[in-house]
Amino acid sequence: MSCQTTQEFIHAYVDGELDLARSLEVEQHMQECQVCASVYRNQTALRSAFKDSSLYHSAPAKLEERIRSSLRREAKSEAGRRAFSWRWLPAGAALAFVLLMAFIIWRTVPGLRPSGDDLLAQEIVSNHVRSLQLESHRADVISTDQHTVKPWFDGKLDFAPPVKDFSGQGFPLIGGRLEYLNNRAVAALIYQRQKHYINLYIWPAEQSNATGEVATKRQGYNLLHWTKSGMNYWAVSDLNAVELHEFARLVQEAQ
Amino acid sequence: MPLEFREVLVLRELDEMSYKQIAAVADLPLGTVMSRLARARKRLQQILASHTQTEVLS
Repeated sequence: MSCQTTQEFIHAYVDGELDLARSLEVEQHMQECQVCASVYRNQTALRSAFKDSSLYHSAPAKLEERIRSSLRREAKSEAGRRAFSWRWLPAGAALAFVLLMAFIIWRTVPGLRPSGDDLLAQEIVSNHVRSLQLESHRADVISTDQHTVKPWFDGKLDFAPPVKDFSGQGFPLIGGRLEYLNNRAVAALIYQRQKHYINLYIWPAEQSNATGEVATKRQGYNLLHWTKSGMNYWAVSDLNAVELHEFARLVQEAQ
Repeated sequence: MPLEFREVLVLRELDEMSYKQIAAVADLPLGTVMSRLARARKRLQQILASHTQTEVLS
């Protein structure tokens, strides 16, 4: 074994980490080589110098306590951060605020929110369309006689709808129907104008004061709405607005 | 003394770890532990020799 190899292995030899075969080789070389033997002696001297108790200082008890308590504090605050992160609080608050503002705007700005009348008009158009889908849907009681139609509602409604025939004016009464609109049972009267049908819905008004006609148009249907003598009236038809207004005027004058 | 030398020296001489343990702790190959320890000791001897006139170390 050369000096270079020996001095390479000498540390492992000193540390007792060298395998037996190489240890023997190192020992054999050192018996012959004074240089390597002195390197070995230096190493063992160094090792024993490390064992000198003067190199070892035990930490003061206070230092140890300080380190341990700061470690505990850190571990505690770490756990706290994981359990609840305040970082998300502003984001959550901002989101809640935006949602609240959106809701308020939606409630207060007209046009964004469908009004009660809009929903009712939609309901009335749907009902009108459905009544015309089948001839049997058109009327529960088929009669051009107002004295037949009016008594038919007796016991079916908690109010007596005014029923008038306008055959003489070109709007003959076809019949009557029970309907459910605006969360209540209502009377539906059906009139005809040439090939056009008019549905007139009647139910008691919550306010007794009369209101003038309000005209709207939906899906190609004309709607007229008014309140008179404590009753709500909704007339709907594919008839043109002028003739529907004429019809409405007849109804209002008849009361 | 560079940190890499100090590391293996402390682990070996003060913590009395085996080469295998040092390799695991310092994340080094076993051969590197051995050669680095040798160089660290050589360096330490030089430092000590320059500071002390102790016969055994010089």
